[in-house]
Amino acid sequence: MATRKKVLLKVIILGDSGVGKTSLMNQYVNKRFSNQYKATIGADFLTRELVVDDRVVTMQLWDTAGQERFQSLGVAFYRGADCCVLVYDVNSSKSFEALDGWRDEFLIQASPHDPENFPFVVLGNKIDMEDSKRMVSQKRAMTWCQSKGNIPYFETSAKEAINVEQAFQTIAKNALQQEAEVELYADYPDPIKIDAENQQGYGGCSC
Amino acid sequence: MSLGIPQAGPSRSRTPSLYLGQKEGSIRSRSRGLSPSSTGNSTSSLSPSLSSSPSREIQPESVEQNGTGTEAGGSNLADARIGLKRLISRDLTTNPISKPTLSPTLSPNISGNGEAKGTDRGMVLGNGKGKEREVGFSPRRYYILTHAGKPVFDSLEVEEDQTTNMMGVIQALISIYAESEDKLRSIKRGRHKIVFLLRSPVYLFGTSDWGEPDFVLRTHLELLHLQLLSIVTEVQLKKVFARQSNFNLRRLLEGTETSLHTLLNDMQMDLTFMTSALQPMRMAPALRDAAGQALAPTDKISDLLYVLLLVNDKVVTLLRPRKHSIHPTDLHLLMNVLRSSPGLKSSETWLPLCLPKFNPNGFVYALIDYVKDNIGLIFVSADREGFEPLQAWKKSVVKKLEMDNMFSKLEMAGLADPYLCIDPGYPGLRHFWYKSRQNVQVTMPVWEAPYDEPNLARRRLVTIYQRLYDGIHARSGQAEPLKQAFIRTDSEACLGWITPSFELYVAVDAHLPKSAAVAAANAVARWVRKQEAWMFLREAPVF
Repeated sequence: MATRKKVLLKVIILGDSGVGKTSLMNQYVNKRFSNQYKATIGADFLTRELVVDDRVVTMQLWDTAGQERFQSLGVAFYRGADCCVLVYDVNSSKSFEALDGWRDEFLIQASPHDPENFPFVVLGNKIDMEDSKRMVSQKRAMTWCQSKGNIPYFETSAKEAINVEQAFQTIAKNALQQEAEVELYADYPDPIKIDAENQQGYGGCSC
Repeated sequence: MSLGIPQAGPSRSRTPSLYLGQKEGSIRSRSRGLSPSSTGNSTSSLSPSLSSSPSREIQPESVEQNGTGTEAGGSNLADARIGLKRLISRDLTTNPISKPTLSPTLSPNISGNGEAKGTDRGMVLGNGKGKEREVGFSPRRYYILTHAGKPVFDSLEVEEDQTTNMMGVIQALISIYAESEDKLRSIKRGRHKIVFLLRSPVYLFGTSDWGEPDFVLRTHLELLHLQLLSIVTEVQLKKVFARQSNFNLRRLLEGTETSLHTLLNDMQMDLTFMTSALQPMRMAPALRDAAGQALAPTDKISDLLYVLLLVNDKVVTLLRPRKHSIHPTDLHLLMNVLRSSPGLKSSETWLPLCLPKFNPNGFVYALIDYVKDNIGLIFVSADREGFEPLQAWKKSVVKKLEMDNMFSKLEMAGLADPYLCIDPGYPGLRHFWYKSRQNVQVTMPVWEAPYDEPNLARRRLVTIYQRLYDGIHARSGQAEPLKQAFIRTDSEACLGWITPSFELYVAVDAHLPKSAAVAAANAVARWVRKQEAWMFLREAPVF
């Protein structure tokens, strides 16, 4: 038998501008970090392969622009996502308070089949900064995550590569739960009755 | 790896140097009223002057479409779109669609000779300034993705990160246009072209640098989509994605991709797919009739759909119920399945498949038996439980055919089927193809040097044929279809000509004048018409 094709997981990363979405993704995929800030225009894509519960999966990461002017990428863009990652900056209350909006935006646009159980993961990024700058406590973040149906929460640093691997491992694992095997042929289509009078005719070869 | 989107990120910053929709490239979206061909009255004999009817020398001038990409109304939305377009254009710019594998000597090298200005749209053989431009003819590449942007199929069969990233870019690009209720149809940049076919829940696209009209790639994509439906049916596909928009279709198709690869491979040089026509075996009509009579069911077999006899993968005869006709595309798909699975030829098989032009929502069942290595009998039934009665009947048919010594007669006829382009007796004729419009069938000689290998020469000739066909059928939104069209390259001179009863394409030596191509076309038309009974399958029994 041919090698089994890998599962592909579509993961969307959302959050305010400048919280480090692209940096997290780059740290995870390319093991690189740049201090230079470059706004993502529209969207960016990275791919990484990993093993989850003995299964090789490919994660297709959809990095989006946080800037408001690039929002509203639309229904089609979010369609068929397996997991949504919400990122905020622990040193910015505003970026944390925006999480509600990002979550709603995703649920409205993607309209997943079972919104109650759709897997989200929250990442509080930039924990490498000095403690004095920290604006959102771990407790506050975890309370929010619990209130939204126990969303897994990670505190990360894209710069120092803290918790990035672990976070994405959890993202993949939760995304995989969405990926149920569907028995395509379970319900056999109705047989075609060719002797029936109402078969549609069509043009073409009359040979 | 010929089409790649680089992993864009801070570490790989590049300046966006090209905006799609501007001078250097163009994006084409939404149908521009591509209408099926309709030709008015025309003369059935071709005069060398070609003056009395709309005809045109198609020049290699490039008339690139201006971008018709829409900008949305809301400023946020518009910004997002512009941003994404910028991202995508950057990626397309920095990574050429395919490696330029150019061979200067083999390029069509169509030099403008000052005659009629080309007005054929969408051709990118030239650079718009009448200057020569090399054309690549590198292998085309085809992809299928789900409407969520998950990869389903890649004709190069590589499973790599760049492809996965690119699927995301393509899905995002398509979704930008979808938001404004527009449909992305093609992207052009210089010689390179990407053509899209959106058949939600799947999207298809293909890349090429051959300089062919858009409809060629679109036809390929349509057939690719139909072959996909022949495996899963449309209703099943829609149902599974309605339940789960994140469905991984690629894994489901595992093991069946061979038929998609075979299809794509065969379509590269084929003219029957493009014209949705059949090329039957050329043979004595009496033998064809005798075979047809032997296959005609004597008793009623319920839900029998078609009976097909093939020799060397060519149709000898095809029987159908009075109430139904078979769509040539379905026949192509069925025959492609046979070609792509050698296993089907080694033992009797009962194969469920969907013939999407007949009914995209259900399976029919084919009893396939290759009684000889190169002689196949195919019985198609709509009855899932119909194997045994069909098999019993097939046995009696085979017995009858054997008694008449039919198999060896057919094998002999198969040997005599191919013919050469010298047969019509016109010196300088290099190749031709003729479509009987009434029979929806084509005939053509075997490919001879320099076209005998599927090489650059044949790719170039087929592409010229396609451009002539494009002009004659106004497939690219031209104002009016042409009755004749003429293209001369350094290597050959080609003429396309349509009349109410046939269309004909001839290629003659490059140094011959246009009048010689016209004379060759007349000679071929006369010759084929004399042989029509041999060339075409005209009357097959119905049941």
